[in-house]
Amino acid sequence: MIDSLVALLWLSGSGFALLAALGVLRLPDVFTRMQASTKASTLGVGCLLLGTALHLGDFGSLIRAASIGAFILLTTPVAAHVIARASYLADVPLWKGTVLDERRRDTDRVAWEQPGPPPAE
Amino acid sequence: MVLESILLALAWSALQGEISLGNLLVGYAFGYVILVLLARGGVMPSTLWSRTVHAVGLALFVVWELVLANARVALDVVRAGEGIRPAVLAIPLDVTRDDEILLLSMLINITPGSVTIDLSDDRRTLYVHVMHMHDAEATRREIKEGFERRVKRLFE
Amino acid sequence: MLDVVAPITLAMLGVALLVAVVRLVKGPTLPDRVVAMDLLGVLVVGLIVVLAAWTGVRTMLDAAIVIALIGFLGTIAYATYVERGRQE
Repeated sequence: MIDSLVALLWLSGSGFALLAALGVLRLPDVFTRMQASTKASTLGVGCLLLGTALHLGDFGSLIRAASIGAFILLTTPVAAHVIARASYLADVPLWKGTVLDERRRDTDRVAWEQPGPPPAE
Repeated sequence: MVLESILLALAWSALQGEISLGNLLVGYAFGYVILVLLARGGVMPSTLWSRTVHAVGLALFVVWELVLANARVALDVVRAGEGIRPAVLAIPLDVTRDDEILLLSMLINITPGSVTIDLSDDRRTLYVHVMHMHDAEATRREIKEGFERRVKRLFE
Repeated sequence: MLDVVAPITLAMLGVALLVAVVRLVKGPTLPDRVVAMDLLGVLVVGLIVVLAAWTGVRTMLDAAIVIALIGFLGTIAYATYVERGRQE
C-alpha cells in the first residue's frame, strides 16, 4: 500500500522535474523559462521528498526531508525573483510575443503594446 | 500568537524529553487551549483563532493554486509555448508593510506562471511577469483577490 | 515494486539533467544559463533524495541539504553578477 503510494509520488515528481527541464529548453525567453523551472522545485522535489519520507519512515529522515522541503520552498521564490529582476534590469529582451510591458510604460513613459514592434532605442 | 503556541509546543516536547510529532501536536493543542482561555479572560487579545483559520485557509489555497498552475504550465511546455501570452503587469498594492509585501511576492513567485520582476520605488506597485494575459484587468483582479486579500486578512 | 520504479524515476531525472545541460550550453544569454544551473541544482537534490530512499543510506539526505544550500547561494551570486554587468 505504502509502496504504491511512494511509487506514484516518485513517478509524478520525476515527471514534473522532466517537464520543467523540457520547459527550460523549449520556452521562448528567460522569464517564461524561469516559470517552468520553479515547477521542478515546488511540485517535483516536493513529491520526491514526500515519497522518500514515506519510504524511510523514521523520525530522523522525516525531519531531514521536511527541512529540505522547507528550505526549497523558502529559497525558490527568492531565486526566481532575483533572476527575473536581474535579467529585466540587464535588458535581456522579452520574447517578441510578449503582449504588454507596463513597467516600461511607467518608467520610460513609452507606451508599447502589441501589435506593433517596441519602439527603437 | 501562533508563535507563542509553537514555543509552547516546543517547551512541552522538551519537557517530555523527546521531540516527536505527537508531542509537538499535543503541546500545540495544550498551548492553544491555554492561550484561548487567557484570551477569554481578557488577558490577551483573541486573534489566535482567526489567525490560525486564515493561515490554514491560505495554505490550502496556495496548495490548490500550485497544483492548478503546475498543470497549466505543464500543458504549455508540452505545446512548446504555443498559445502563451506573456506580459509584464503593474499590480497596484493595498498592502504596505514589508512582511506583507514579502509574503505576497513569495506566493506569486512560488506558483509557476508568475514571477515578480520589481517593486516600484514608492512601494505602491508590484511588477509581475505572467504567462497568460488575455485581459489585463482580469489578471490583476485574480492576483489581488486571490493572494493579496488573503495575505491582508492574515496580518490584520 | 519500488525496485522497478526507482530506476525509472532516476532515469527520468537523468534525462531532465541532460536536457538542462543542453540549455546551459546553448545559452544564449547569461541569465538563461543561470536558470539552467539553478534547475541542475534542484534536479540533483531530487536525484539524491530518491537514491537515499532506494539504497537506504540516510546520510545522503544531509548531502542533499548541503547541495540545496550551495545551489541557492550560487544562484544569488550569479544574479548579482548579472545585475552588476549592467552597470559597467
